Amino acid sequence: MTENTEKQRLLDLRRKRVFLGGGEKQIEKQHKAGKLTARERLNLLLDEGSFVELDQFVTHRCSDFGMDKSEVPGEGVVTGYGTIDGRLVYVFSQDFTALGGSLGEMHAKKICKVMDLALQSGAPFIGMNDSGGARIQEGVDALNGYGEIFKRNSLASGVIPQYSLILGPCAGGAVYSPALTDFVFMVKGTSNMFITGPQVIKSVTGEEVSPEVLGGAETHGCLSGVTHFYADSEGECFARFKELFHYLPQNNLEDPPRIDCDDPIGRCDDELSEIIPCKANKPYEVRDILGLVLDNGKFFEVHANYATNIVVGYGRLNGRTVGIIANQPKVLAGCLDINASDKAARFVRFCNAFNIPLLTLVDTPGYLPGVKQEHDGIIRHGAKLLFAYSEASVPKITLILRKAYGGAYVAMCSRSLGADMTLAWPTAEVAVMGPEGAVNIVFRKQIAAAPDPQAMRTSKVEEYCAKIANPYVAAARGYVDRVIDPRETRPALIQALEALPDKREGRPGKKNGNIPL
Amino acid sequence: MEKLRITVNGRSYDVTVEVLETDENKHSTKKEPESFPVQPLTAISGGKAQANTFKGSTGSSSGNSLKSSSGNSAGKTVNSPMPGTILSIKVNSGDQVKRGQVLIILEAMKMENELMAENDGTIRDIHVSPGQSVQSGDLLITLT
Repeated sequence: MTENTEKQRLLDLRRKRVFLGGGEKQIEKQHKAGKLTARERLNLLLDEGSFVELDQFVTHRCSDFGMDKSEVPGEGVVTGYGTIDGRLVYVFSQDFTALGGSLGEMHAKKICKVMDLALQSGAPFIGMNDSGGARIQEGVDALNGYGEIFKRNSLASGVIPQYSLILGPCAGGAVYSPALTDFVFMVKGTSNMFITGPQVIKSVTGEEVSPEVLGGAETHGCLSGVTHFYADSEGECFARFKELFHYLPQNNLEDPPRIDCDDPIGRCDDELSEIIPCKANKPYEVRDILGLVLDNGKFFEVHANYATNIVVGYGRLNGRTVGIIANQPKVLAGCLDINASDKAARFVRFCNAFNIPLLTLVDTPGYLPGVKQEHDGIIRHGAKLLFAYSEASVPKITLILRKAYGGAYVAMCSRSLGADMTLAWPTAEVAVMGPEGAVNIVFRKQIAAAPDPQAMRTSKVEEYCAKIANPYVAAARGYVDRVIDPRETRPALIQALEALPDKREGRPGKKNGNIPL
Repeated sequence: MEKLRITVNGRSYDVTVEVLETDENKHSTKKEPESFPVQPLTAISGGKAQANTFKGSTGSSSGNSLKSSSGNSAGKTVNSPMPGTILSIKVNSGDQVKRGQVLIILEAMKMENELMAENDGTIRDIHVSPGQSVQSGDLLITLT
């Protein structure tokens, strides 16, 4: 055996040791917990054979608390780059088998290196989190590691899409890196996110709560809104991630991927005339409209179970990605509330950062009334939506379906906030408030003085509806550009989109706006 | 398109595999890649059927948003999501209900809002009657 082949053999040995992470026993434990290993996940996520690993042989340099005798192969995280359907991505995958995937100085350095490369090369960044938290033995060096990651998450925000796949525990400071990224995915039963875990909560407040109820996938998907997507298994999680990935560009200088459209762009649909119920107090499913209008009826919903009174997600029109924001009359009457405003505002800002045109479907009676909403700051939160829409310079198309009342009309991407094309169905009612409320105020004295107040009110409501509660007053002022036949919605939206291909809109230079957080 | 079951360390995964013949196919196609191993919840495909799938899936999602019960009793109670008037009650005490089934119509914000069951169960108590005004968070129905 020559000296060179001997050296190659030693390299192989070293690699094998790293590939095994925390060792076979730990891998078995990981599988028994219903989880894949860091490397199995990379194989599932990336195109076959595309993964290139960096920093394989990085080791920690901590000697306190017996760490000098502790070897952590790969430092508890696998980092590198690869492709997904041929598109470059940078990625890290924490290895729970190696010292619990705990984050120390060098573990963080590995992550920071791929973050820097992703940002410099304009490629999306994907994190797969499965870590027990900070490596306590490394003290402030571990904390510094988190800080370095947070800073990079923030700097990369709006430049490259950042995705977090939470596939195990993610607790304490570790949660803030995913929170700073654009999309968070979780898996039921195996992933948890919380700032303080059940044990700390029990010792401090006495409350007893299971990790799953405190910070499981459903909790964050339905109640807190921390996670945008959740799945039953890691396989499903990767599938949903990839579907999202196909709608979005590599970076903020690129347009989203456009695909060939085999759905006729002139397709009209009679069913659209039937969706809005005749009576104004009947709800309907707004996603039915999307199912009839978008390319092949495909709508990919984001935050599908959180603040469901507003629907946001992606679809395509003539092969181009559009970001859709729609009031949902089926839930909370389609009112805007605190959570819906936050959800929609964040979605709008992501779309604007990554050149995704906005399509807004309006049917809202207004902001949700209530003491709790006011005390929790609906003024502050509701303002975010106004800010996000005003700030957005991507093509903005608005379609008013039915109710567009008051401040909520303005907030839902009205012409005043810079909509480029505002369309309305004949069923649209653009007004300061609904007929009953308006009549009770405007004609209060006349109604009170009338011999039959009820009849008087009814006749005034009819008068109001004919005069005000329609799209034609707004159209007469030019606030609505076109009133369209609902059946022609698809061609009309595509025409509007095609009329704004290279929209450019300047904004004054500034360090940052001050969105009312 | 091929369906395969692969077993990794004793755990089996069902995957759908699309066979790509050439490298050219793999990278330069402008068609949307459709071969995801699992059908996502909200994705829909093909004309009318899609809209129907949508309708099917909405019950559960809007049901979740109405969750105002706390902790371990989640899914056992139905609370009012906003102030309004009970228009009608669609179930009786003792009825078996399915997740997504309409239990109560609540008129609020000039809209007849359908309140749905979050989980399968049996109606134990109905705490309100038609015509009654309710506040946000009021207990409407208890399930077992």
